[in-house]
Amino acid sequence: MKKIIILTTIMGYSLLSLAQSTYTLSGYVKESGSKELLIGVTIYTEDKSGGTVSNDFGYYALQLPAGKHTIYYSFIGYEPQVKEIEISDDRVQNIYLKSANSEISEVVVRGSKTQKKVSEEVQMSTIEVPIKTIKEIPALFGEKDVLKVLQLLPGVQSGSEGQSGLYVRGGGPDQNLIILDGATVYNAQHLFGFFSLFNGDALRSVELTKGGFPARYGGRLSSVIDMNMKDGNKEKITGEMGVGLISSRGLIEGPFANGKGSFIVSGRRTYIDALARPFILLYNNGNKAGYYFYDLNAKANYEINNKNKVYLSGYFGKDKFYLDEEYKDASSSYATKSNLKWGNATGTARWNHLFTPKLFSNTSLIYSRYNLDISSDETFNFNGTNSNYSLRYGSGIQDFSLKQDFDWYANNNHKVKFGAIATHHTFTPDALVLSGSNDENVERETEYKSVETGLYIEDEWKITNRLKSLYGLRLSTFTTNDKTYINPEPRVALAYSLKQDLSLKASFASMNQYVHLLSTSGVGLPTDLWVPATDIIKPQSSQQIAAGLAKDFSDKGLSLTVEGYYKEMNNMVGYKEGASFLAIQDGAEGAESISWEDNVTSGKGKSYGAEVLLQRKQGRLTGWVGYTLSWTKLKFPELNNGQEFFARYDRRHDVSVVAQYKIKDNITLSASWVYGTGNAITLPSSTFNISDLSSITIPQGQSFYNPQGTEYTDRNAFRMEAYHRADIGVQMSKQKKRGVRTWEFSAYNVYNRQNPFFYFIGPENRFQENSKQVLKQVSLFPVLPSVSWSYKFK
Amino acid sequence: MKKIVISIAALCLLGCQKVVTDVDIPQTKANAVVFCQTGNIVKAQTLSLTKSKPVLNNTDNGSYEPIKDAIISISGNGRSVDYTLNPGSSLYTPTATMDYIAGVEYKLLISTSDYGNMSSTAIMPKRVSILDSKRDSAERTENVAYSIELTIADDPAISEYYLLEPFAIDENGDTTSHYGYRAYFTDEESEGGKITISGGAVIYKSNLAKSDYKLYMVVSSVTKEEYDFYKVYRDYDPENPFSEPTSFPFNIEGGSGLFSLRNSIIVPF
Repeated sequence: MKKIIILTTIMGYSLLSLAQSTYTLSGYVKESGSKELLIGVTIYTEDKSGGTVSNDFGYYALQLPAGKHTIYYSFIGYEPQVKEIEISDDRVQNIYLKSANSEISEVVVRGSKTQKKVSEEVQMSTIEVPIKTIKEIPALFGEKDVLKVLQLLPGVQSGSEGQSGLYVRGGGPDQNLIILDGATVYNAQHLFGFFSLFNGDALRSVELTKGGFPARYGGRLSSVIDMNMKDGNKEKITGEMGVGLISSRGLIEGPFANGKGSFIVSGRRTYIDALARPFILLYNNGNKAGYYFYDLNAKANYEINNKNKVYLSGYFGKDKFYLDEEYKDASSSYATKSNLKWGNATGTARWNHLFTPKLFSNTSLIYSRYNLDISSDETFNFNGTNSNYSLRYGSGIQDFSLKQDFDWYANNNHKVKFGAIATHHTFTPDALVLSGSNDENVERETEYKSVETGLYIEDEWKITNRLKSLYGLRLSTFTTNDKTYINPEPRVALAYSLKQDLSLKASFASMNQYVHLLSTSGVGLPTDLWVPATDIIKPQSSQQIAAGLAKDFSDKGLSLTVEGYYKEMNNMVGYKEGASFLAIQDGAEGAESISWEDNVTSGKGKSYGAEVLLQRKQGRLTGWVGYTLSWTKLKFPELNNGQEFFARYDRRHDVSVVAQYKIKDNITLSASWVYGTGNAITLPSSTFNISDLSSITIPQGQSFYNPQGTEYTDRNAFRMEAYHRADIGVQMSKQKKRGVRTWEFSAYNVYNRQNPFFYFIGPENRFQENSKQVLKQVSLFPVLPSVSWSYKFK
Repeated sequence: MKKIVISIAALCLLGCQKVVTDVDIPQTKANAVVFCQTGNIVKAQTLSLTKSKPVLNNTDNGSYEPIKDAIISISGNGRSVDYTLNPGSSLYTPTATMDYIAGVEYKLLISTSDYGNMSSTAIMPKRVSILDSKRDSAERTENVAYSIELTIADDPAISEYYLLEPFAIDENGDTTSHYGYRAYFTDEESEGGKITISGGAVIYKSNLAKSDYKLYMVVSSVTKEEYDFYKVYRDYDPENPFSEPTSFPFNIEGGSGLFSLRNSIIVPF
């Protein structure tokens, strides 16, 4: 509480000192040609007395005294621009930056003192990943994947082979807030986690925050992945199409209403099912089975006038796994149809309004839904007697949010953001309908309705020329089942410039999370359940401190950040021993129903470590080297006999090297190499005989009778083999009559490392009876070459 | 659902497999495992003492070697009964019948040459007092489902644990041709000194056509240790590749396993 009072007092005093003897230079920063708004553009005066960054809608505002000023506009991947501007009143100055990669006539931006510098930013533990980088890094089956690129950054780890789930600074995948145009995406994974929803086609920006969270973000403990979709080309209709090994994609964008508005639509669908269908029919006795997924992004915006602009955007995606089987002989027949479907839908309506050049407002109405549906219909006929069985199982979460954000450019020393959000959640952890001719019918639906709110204010304060601060306060509440939680969350970040291009940074962030994901041991299954905090299951909370150095080597285009962090997490949720989502379901099928609240247990966690990131964003050779040294430990009273144990995703060493080299203007080579300490797992150590638990002779079919038990080593006491892998790729572009054609050839796991996906105990020789049991490793992906073709229309 | 998930796991198994040799694998030794859920029903007064089996470098044939040289006794209330090995069943059986008295603590002592000494204690729960009972049945396409509801007296001052085991005996004395739901209960939701618990059994019509059946229910008070063991056992699903590892709550000092006492009555319906 003392911290909050001090913080509020500082905020009040510092804002009272605002001066008014200046004028406001404001406007939007856009891409030359497409007029796409640019986020995060650095704008500053020649003497650096004033500076700002364009916001999520490309808007900026600077306070300047009357007179002539030289203003610099710079953004990675764009040619910097310098403007001489005469100020005698408030002035609007829209800026158009030219892409440094216009078509294929590459303009290589050399190391420049005008580029954004990490040493000058107050916020730490934040990394922006250019979309261009995402599209150049080689990927599994050539499918570009935003989340897998984020896994290559220090402090971010993948789960197991090929998975797109993120483990950030010791937090689980549920502790990442993934936002697309303001809407929360709950399950960002396709194909059981092997691909994420985001391939970068329709995205304008991706930013990852691992710590030192600004007060505008809340609701998750470990990271924020904030993505914004492109607005669409305002000058002309244009498009892009691509064909890969497992999917094809397309994008179209263009203006409407004489350039006052623009739209963009992009989509992707896999065709593994169509390609594999003849083989499945041939080798599976005519039975059908298949899998596909698709994504669809759409966005439109319209500029009503200089002060008002509206946006409408949405994402829709689905995965479907299906299996149809039939069997028939002289006396019996059997038919089954099974489907497993899951998908996300988000929708955002936004209204930008400029009250004054200093006060920018954004109002958002947001919808987000994730749902899983499982269905199975079985019909069995034996000697003319029919029996049937039907299962419908669903789980999901649905949100409606209203959000109001303000950017107040008070003066050059204070940039204030404040606002509020209210979200109505509907959780359906499980909805089940079972019916059959030989079983009792079961119909059950568990539903929770909750309201989550957040009220925030933050101020980026330039205290002196050397010392900057980003401090703020978020007040979050959550109400479910007549239980209300109220939590203040103070946030502070400080940056002190030791000398030019070198700064010392520190931050503290307190976070609360009111939604939990019941997840099965590190596997990205769609069956993971989203559940709310209840009066029994408390909200998760964390406190994180971080400190580090940021250094820019401007002449070489390099930046270096070194950070250390310590994070404590409370009320973390995990399945109890022996439990899984299947136990919840089977409880419904059997005589006794098992509630999810009975199946979970709470505990504490702590994570600490150090991260190093050396990055080069400019020049022919770009990329980064990242290293993380970390420890993540958990302590649950009901797990591992109450003793502390390593998290499954505890990783002592994590290394990534990513490089892109532009051989010629139209040829880019890219490569990446990753190394990670093996995952911590629990191994069975011995089995034992469980003697008859019955008082009487055992009746047939005792549903829980199993005469063999298993003893395990200490929880997560065994380490799998280390993971390492290299990928390479080359992109070759050629100017054609109507656009640019690009071929990409790449190889995943180029030195064919057999990385562990999971371990199991099995017979040494599966064809030999009574073969001894050994520990076996399953590896998924050998070296996988891929090729893709894309065409970008002019 | 389970089929779908296990199919996915099976697909993963089709991926490249190799025997793990490049990392240190912890070595495990066999230990002694005791199971003795005994009480006032004679059938249940047996004791199993076997060796556990390290998972690795052993066959998985489901057989466990009995420890044959143990000296075993259960004592309490001034009496002691020795257990000897029945070579036919490989189970230890008592040399005399023990009358277990509610509220009395009984001690199990085991001495072996290879695994040393083991011990455990349990207090005999008090017998169930049935206040009311109801039986119902529902005829389905292929079977008849019987449900039984019992209201029993419950002491609100102490935590009590119950076990219901339905069984049916046909005209020939066969108890194996039906499907019964065995269930454990606690008295956490007891109100006003009584608790209602229910169980059931299913008998296939094809069996009913051949024979007449009598339905019985074994109603037992059990120890907390047995109930806790059952809770873990209920969720234990070794075939589910996604389930969390399970630690069984043993109560044998110097070894593994469970020693518990049941105070049972058999109720005909």
